[in-house]
Amino acid sequence: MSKSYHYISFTDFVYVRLDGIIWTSSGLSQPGNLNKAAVEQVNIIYGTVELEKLLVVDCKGVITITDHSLDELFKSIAKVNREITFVSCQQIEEKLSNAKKEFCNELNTNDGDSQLTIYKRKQKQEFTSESSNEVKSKIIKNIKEFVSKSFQKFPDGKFKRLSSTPILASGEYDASSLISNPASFYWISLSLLDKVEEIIERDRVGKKSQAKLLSVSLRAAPFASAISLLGGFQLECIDHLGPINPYSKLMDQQYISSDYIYIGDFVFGGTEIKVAKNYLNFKSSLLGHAVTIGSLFSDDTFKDFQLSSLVSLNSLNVDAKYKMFED
Amino acid sequence: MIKTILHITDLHLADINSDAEKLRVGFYQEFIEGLVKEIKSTFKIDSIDHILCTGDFVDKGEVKNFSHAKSILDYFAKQLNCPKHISICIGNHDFIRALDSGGKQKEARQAYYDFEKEYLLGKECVKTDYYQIRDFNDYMVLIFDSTYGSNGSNGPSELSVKEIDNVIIDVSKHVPSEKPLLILSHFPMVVFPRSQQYLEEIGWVDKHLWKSGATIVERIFNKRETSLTFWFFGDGHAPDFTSYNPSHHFLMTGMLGGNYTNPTFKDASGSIKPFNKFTEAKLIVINEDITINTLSYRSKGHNLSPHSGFWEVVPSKIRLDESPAIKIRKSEKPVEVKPDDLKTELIGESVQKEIIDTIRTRNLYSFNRYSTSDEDVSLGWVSIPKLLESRDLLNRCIDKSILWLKETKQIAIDSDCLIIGLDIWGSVFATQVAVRENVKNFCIATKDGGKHNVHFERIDSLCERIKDHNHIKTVIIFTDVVATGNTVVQFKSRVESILSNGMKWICLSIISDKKQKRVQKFDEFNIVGTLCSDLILPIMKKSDLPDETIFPSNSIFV
Repeated sequence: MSKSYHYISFTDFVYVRLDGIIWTSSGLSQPGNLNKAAVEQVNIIYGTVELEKLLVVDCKGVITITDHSLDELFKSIAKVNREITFVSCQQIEEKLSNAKKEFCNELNTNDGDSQLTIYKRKQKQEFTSESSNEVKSKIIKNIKEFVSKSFQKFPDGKFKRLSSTPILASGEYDASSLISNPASFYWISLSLLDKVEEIIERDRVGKKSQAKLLSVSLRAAPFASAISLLGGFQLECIDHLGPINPYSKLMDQQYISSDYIYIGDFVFGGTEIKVAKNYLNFKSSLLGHAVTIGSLFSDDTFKDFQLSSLVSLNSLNVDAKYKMFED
Repeated sequence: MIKTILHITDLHLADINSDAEKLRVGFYQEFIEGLVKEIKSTFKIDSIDHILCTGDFVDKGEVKNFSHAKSILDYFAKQLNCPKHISICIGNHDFIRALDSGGKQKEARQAYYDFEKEYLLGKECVKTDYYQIRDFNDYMVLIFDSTYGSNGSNGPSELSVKEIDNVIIDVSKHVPSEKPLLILSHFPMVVFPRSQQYLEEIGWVDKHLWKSGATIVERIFNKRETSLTFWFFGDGHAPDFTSYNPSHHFLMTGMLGGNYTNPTFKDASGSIKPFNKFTEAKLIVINEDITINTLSYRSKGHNLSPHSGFWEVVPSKIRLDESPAIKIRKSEKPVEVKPDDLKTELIGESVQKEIIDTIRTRNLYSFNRYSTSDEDVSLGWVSIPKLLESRDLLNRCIDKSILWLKETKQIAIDSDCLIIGLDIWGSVFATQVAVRENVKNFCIATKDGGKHNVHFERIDSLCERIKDHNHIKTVIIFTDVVATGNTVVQFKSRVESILSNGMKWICLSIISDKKQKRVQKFDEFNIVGTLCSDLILPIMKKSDLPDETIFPSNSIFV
């Protein structure tokens, strides 16, 4: 049976992410390798979910395919009159074309721009750059809903001071509930991975040595670990940074200078990131970027580091109210 | 579950209209009200679960005063909302000694028996002349007549071997080990090493210690070593309390009543000395810890007048004083060593080899003093973050764990399964397993009880979230290193109290040295697996090591 969170429905198409399906069907020992178990999941969605719509398979991050893994899917494509488009498939395009030739050569293809579409008579639906933006927007919209629902007001309508930050809040967003729910954990992890890869590509983070991820809390560690495994990044996990775990307790005798990217849940005043930055400076490393699920202030508010957050917490939930700490 | 027990004793009602007695007719209500007010305000409770009184209701056989004793007990019950949970036992002043010495034991005690009828509460399991067992559903009460057969000697009785055997047989038969047991005896059944009289009074042991009772203590202790058992005694007048282990607690409570001008004893030099005027009650509060609270009546002024005093609470945690008898017993027999942990299974040889090789080649093993609990110290420690920096190893550990659960152990990881990760690395495992199997998981902080973590990461929050999860059939706990097993056992106990019974409990760890002794309840896990069981992480009692000024804890955790 397919996991319902594997796909997202749009008006004209159904979207799946191959790296996510590889992750949840067979683990992350070889995250870039498409294997039989993952293709089986795609095949189930292809044959059962909203058959009238185009199935868009995002192949981002997939670089190899285990022999004969594609056989059953392409046999289904030969049988079922449903269009399928593989996007971001430049690394595996040749294998996809070979499978098409072997199992459904009579069907038509439209290839180009890292896409391969297989259709029967006439291509009905095209996956365009607008469609790609639509996918990104919908994923973020879904994440906003997950995050918004995680908000829990403090009892009796009271405001309480948030930890490490002089901001009073009417409640808290609960990152634990986002981890608890496989669907939110899946899509948030994949979206955080995209952000990290985008930063590395854009800013050439870790050009001297490979970029490392840093998480400093229990609620960030599962996300950071998932990104590390999915993207092949080194990870340093610290259980609290601050007064209860001073740097002197954490310092290794030998360390290698690295470029770090901080992974966290929610940012308010950015104190935790600044402490993390100081800790890394202390061991001759750099922290220039932070990737988080949400931030109360816009990403460009912070000058000590570049923040990339998936969603803005400002006005996300009408019950979430903030004010400055009054002593 | 019983949570509060009030113990009073030795009312010694003599002249119930005398102003030398605090429990006199004209003052007892005011006196009790002060006590009740102190209990309610200090402990924020409106009622007590059980009231016990361990004899000497009347003084020197003044059996006509039982009716006033009843007024006193009933007033306690009314004030503390506890009318149906009272237990009493007879003291050496509660019968007519002349009849007793003449062999008419039952006649001598008839007035007490008539008085006692009102307090034969709970379901009667067994009742003989010298003991009875009563069932109060959540707990049991064993009541002794430690005077029966004393033949008017004013001291404790002596039981035959057969009579002691009968007690033990009936306790075994009627008292389930999981139910707390409250035991009442007027004469103390053990020696209280700190009590004033024991230290100073000539012949204390002969006069006060119920020696047959001491044998009963030892035999019941053997049977119920880990079952919660409270022993309540009177007669001592000078109070004390002690515990043989975290389950067996002994209280000798001071007098509640009596003529404050009278009590004296002879010290070793033969001098007549007054007792310290301890007027008190004791309140046991059972929560995560057991506290024994002494409620003392402090008289104002120099003449210790009973007319103007106030109640004061002195709380105390239990204090362990292993009994001399138990010490002897333990030293006579070879020390019973629990076998090595036979429960923990190795998940896979190859992944274990990889873990040990990584530890060896990356030099990740540290030998030092690492505190694992209040009592235990680990002499070895492995940096799990550094061990699992290898993504290949982390992946293999996760894959192997899932495979072992599903294929070797045939566990269905589905919506009836609750997955919980403890602390960072347990949570990393739990979330990876959960997302792959499409089930919910929870990440919980256990270090320092989660006090440094946000509310959502604490066990209280978990309990709140899962309290309606009645469908759960299996709970799988992931953790990094199991030392004594205390953390996972405590965690299990807490979660178990929220969920229904009959669930399968599984614990998976990255490292768990199979040679180490575990805490007893670790055996209650149905399945225990570890990715590495051969790495030795020696656990020692703190008490077996030099103190930290000589051998300091290592605080570097990288």
